Amino acid sequence: MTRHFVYFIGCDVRNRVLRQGRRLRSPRYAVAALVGVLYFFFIFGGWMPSGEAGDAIGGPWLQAGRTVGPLVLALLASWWWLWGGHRHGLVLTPAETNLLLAAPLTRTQIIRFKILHAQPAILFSAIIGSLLMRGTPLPWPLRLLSLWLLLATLHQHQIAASLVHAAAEEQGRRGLRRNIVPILLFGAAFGALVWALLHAVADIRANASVEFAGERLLALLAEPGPRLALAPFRLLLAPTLASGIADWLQPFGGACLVLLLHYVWLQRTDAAFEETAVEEGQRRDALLRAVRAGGLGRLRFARRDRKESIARPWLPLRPTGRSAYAIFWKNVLYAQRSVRTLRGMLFLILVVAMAIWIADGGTSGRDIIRFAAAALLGLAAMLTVFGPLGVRNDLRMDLRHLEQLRTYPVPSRDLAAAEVAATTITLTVPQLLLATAGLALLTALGTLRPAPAVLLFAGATITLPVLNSLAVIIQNLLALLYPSWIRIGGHDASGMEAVGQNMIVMFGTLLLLAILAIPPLAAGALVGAPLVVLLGESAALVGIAAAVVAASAEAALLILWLGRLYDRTDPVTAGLLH
Amino acid sequence: MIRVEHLRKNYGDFTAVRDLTFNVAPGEVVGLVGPNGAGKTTTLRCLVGIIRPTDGTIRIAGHDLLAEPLKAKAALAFIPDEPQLFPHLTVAEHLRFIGRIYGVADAGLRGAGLLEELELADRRDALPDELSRGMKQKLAIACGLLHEPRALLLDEPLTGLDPGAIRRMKRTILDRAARGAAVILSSHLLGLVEELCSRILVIQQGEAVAMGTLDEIIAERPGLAGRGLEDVFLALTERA
Repeated sequence: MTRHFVYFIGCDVRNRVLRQGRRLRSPRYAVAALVGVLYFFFIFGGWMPSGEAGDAIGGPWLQAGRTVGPLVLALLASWWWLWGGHRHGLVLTPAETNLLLAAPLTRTQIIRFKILHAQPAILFSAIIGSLLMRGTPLPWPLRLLSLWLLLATLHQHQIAASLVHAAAEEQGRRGLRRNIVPILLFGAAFGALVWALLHAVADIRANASVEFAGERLLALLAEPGPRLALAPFRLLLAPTLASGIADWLQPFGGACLVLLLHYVWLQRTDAAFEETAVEEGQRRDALLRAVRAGGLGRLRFARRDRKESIARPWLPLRPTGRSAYAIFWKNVLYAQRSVRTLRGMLFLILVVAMAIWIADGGTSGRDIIRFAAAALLGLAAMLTVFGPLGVRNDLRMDLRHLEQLRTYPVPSRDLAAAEVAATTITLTVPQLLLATAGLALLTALGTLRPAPAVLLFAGATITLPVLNSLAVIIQNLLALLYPSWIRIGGHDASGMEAVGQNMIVMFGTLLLLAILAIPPLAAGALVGAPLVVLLGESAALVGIAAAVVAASAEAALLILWLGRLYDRTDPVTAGLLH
Repeated sequence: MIRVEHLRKNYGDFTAVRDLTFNVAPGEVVGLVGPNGAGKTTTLRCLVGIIRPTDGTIRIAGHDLLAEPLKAKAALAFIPDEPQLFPHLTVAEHLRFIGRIYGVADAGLRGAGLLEELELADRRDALPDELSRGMKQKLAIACGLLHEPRALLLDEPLTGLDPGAIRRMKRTILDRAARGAAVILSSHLLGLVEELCSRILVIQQGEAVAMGTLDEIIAERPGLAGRGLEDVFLALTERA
């Protein structure tokens, strides 16, 4: 049977490669693939030195990996055991459900199939990982082998955790009893880690400083309980982080043993997993279709727990008024419901509260507050640079509904403005919240005086909306001008060319934004500079206001163009409809 | 109500629709039939403003679709074969959204009536992913009917509906026509077309090959006397 499985998997891989290859006949995919290859060449071969063993990722890095790595793996495994295992470990796609479950195969054979089926993807990840770790002392083939061993074992551990969950779900107490040994082993290891962590947190609370916290957490890993709990993960990581060939062989044997134990465990298990696997497969299939049809935000709607209530719209919608407002309302509602807003707000509050709470416990707490403020401002900055690419509740999302949208009696200029406004507000609100929290912390510390803080906040408040709208307009224009370059529903982007496309779009957007920034900056300088003598620092605000007016005029003109372009785009020729 | 003159749509060298001329009067249900790739969908998409025709004029409720697109579109509704729903809007919110788009002042009342009529009232707070294919189709139909369109264009409207819903949908189409709407119904279900449509437009390779009542079409082709629509359709569209 294994031979048949291998044949099936071989065909699967071959057909995928051929499909990707066929796409490269199109010049735009070929160009994108070239950019993707150059990108990877730059990552793997450009900046990273390839000299003598250990000169790039040398002793200290390897040592850090050996110390922290097992903890990271243990946290990952804990996540699978506690929450994620049964959702991601053993999933049967609809095709597999129809073919495998209906075929005369045992559960063990199906599990073996799933393990084999995952190997090409694991091998690919191992190749990428081993190239990224080019600077480690180990020769490439051994690095690849070690990484494959690590990833394959983790994959099997995930399946095992999912089987325990599935058995509990489908067989109740009987299922739990059958898996009592792995459950007890996990419970003991997890308990030892949590116990040690609680003690460490108490110490950190008593002597709050970043340095102490780091040292205390490292000391925790050396304590007997956590050391024992992390032993299997240390064993797994050891070959990958070996200092040389001589240092590699023995740990490799140990890691092989861990893999073998997992395989035996999976082959001996007889957990009833079919229902859970099929249900999860169906959910995955729905998600996949949802994502292909409507971007990542749609995940939330496809995976919604039926018991979960639907949030009421924040914005009101009266039956009459400007029709384009309905488009804005719909798209803001999309953002409201696709992002776990409340959790985001709670996270923000938690970060600030934690910083203040920890800081209160010791004299070095100011470092922690400064760190939290920098993190919040950094997040706001990241959202400004990358947000317009990722937040897409505008035409990029609506183009897949073009067949419906075009029939609406909505003026195209208004529609374009509504689409852009929805994403702009979605970006601006969290940016301002993050910036406000960051500035407030810095002001509370005394690092920033109140007057410049207010000036910065006022500047951000008037600048961010127009900056966001320009970036969003560029993205929407690109979506209409070059639909195949922008991820729109139904566009199944993957492979090297997808990486290249993303790079081109990102740098193209930044370049266009830089060009568009020239007139507003010139206007700001012309108006603000002469007023410095009269108004001092406040002249900056006047300059910013002038720049914002100029940028707003640019945005208005571009929205007019966007509307006309939307009107004139033939959806069939553009590949948006078939 | 729907007047089409010399409609042509080219894609490069390929002509998807060529010189199509017909009109649909208020209260009339016209069946648009043709083999796969005949140009039915392209014709419908031109009629509702999704794609711009290369040539020709389209008037909806007296308004030129190219010159006065907003007025023309306000009078029409298009229900495609694949329901076009927004994944994050509930059933009720879809109707509110459409109500605002078309400026339906009593959208709440009308929407509630439509949901009752289409047996969706108990799913008013459900998201599209929680609906079956048939329910999605019903919601798309409700959205299309909310603003009482004067021109109704349907592409395979019965796909996914159960027998009860099919019967109700047929009744709804005839009811809208009786209330003065011009209806174009595109379908491969020739029995349905024969049952509901007062006239039939048969297109083949983008061209109209027959237009009229079934009797009129047969009268022009004596060899088809006594045959049903299926035989007539095959005779008209099968290549020699």
